[in-house]
Amino acid sequence: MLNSFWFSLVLLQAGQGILFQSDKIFTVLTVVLIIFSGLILYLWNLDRRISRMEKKDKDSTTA
Amino acid sequence: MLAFFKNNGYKILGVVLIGYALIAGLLKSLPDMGGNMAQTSRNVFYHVPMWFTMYLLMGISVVYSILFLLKGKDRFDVVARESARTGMVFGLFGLSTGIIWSRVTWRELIPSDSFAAWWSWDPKQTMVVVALMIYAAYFILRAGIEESSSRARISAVYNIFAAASLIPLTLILPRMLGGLHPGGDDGNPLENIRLSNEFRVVFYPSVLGFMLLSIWILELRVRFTLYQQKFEDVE
Repeated sequence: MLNSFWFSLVLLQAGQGILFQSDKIFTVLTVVLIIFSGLILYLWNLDRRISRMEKKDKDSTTA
Repeated sequence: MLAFFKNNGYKILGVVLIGYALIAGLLKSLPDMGGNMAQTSRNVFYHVPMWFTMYLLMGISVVYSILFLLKGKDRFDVVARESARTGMVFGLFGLSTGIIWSRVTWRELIPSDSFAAWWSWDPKQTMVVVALMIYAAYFILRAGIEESSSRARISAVYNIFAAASLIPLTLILPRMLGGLHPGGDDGNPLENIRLSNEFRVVFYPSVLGFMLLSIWILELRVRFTLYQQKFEDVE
């Protein structure tokens, strides 16, 4: 979650110009991409946790 | 490194495709649909893939139900259940996004406090609710059967009927009755010229991307449930 926060800061810094354009579609795009990247990081994290759990379980049953 | 892509390649591909669909879908210049459609035609890139993904997951669900009836392996029942569950989530995404889209395009003049502003009784919209209720009954049926092997068998048979009803309810009837959705008057929207190539280059990647994402979610749910089942009887 912290990652997507930094990501949004970087985008704000880099995009001073485009975020304030008249129709502001890039602002919407930024919002959408922050949500999307946050969700993907969440899923990725979940995937890693489950993998770790499975591995630990496998090790304990074989030992 | 190679093993990483072997295991995670489809996830990365899905994320890249959705990322592309989000960026290109919002920024690409498209033929102006005009009138009440205007810029909301971009919703084709996000609303429609939800349904494609739901059909895929319900398809996986019924295939695993049939496999369970043939082979009797418990893990097939887990995949069938989790797939139907994830499919329902995508169905609810599709339904809610469709309500918002129709609210601002065809029902824009109706005040917000009126039910008609939010619900058009469009055949596809209505039948999809019926189909989702049939799937809700699948979970109620499961919850009602205590003994796990008969629960798996009976619900697998029910799932075949649920999947069989999905096709006439959401794909055939709405096309015969017309309504807000395309396909009533001029056949399959994917085959006719109303979906121009400018839409297709974003639409198809978006469909594939959301399908891959849903498979990822399904994989996680199945792995988690199988792990959990080692320690307790999970329904």
